[in-house]
Amino acid sequence: MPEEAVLFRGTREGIHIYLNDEVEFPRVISSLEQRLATSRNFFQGARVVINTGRRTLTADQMAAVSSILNKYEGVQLVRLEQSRAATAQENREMTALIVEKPVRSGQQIYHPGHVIIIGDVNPGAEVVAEGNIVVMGALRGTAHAGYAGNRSAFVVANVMMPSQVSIAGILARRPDGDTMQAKLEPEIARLKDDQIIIEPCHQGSYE
Amino acid sequence: MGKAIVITSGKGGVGKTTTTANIGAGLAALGQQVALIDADIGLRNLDLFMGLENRVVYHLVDVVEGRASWKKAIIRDKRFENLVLLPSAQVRDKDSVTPEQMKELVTEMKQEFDFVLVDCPAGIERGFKNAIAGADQALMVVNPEVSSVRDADRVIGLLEADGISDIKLIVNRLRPSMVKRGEMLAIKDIVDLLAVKLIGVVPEDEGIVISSNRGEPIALTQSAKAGLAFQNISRRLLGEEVPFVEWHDNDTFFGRLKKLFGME
Repeated sequence: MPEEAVLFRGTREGIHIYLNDEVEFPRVISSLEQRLATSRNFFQGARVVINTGRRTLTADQMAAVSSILNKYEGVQLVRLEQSRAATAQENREMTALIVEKPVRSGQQIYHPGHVIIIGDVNPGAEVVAEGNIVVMGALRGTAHAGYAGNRSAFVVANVMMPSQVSIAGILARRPDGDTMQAKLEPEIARLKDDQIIIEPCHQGSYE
Repeated sequence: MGKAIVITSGKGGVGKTTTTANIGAGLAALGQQVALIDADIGLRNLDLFMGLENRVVYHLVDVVEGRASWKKAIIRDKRFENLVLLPSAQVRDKDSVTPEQMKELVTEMKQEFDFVLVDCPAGIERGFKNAIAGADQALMVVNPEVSSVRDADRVIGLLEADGISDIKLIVNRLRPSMVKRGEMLAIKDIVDLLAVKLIGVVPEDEGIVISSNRGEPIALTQSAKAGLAFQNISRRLLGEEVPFVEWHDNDTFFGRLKKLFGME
């Protein structure tokens, strides 16, 4: 999981707020309070979805969260959701979002399942999925698969040249000054012993 | 009814205003009724490029705030009867105009002109939103540089999100010898990344600086490389199939001789 106690994601539905379940709750609360205060205007009138990760909130904890949100005018809590790292079975059953055009600099795609991009992911673009990410084109931007902590998630791209790629919060970055051309064959990025390995995804290389 | 085209780039200094002035002059030379709108409120430039600075009386903000009709505010070009400029205000800022007001103005002007070209300010804030408000089509100006291409990518995303899907690319200030040495992005790499259709390549040309300072669009100079490039873009905008010119820096006697004998 990412180190931060609280994470924000803009989605079509509104703003998703992830409360990191690996951080003790008081720190989550104070961090939430701080983050909201620094971007006060951003949250004015926002629709908010709270994701508590694998943690089930007690009544008191829930009250603490709502009292913070209530300080902001018009903030509407749409939903409270709980996620856990998907099992391999569930991973296969996740829904997939298909994006049929290039993801451009400054654009962000988030989906609580798999994401398939028919086109390139350009530098400065960001794709975040709780499941796998498949890029039918060149991946030059940032990809984060297994966002909710699913360590079996992977990223596949026809041309693998990401500026950063993360799986379940573990990040790998392109080495500085790397001018090496990517192989013109599909490659896959996966986690192996807490390290991201990128290798050709010809048949039989993974199951 | 005519077409409204916004000339934009994201990054500053890539040649938006030069492009607007030259395509405007190019289209006018081809007999089109053309209006140029300088949407860069606070940094008025397009009138300089057209050599019309001394004739500015009313400006865009006057029109929007109702102090003058657009018909009264436009300045007719010195060279072409069928080319006019609606200058921007130098003493106001971008917040003086809203996207709705711009859209209304552009829609009205489209009734009377074949082309309404809007010169967009740099950036992606209010000035950008104003400039694209009434546009049917966009021309993206990029320089063969990583930062320019990156910003263009971002802007194309914003244009698409705003419903402007007809986007064409102009690569400006290309230096063929640098591309050849691999020191500058090649056209193909830029087009591949941005995934929009190329409508023109304009080589770096010192004549641009001279013509801008003089207020005479280079597109009116047949012999200038950049002038020819802008004329070709204007013709392509009218739907004509104009083959792309392969630009070379070595326009020396020996260079031409080599080309003649097929040694290039």
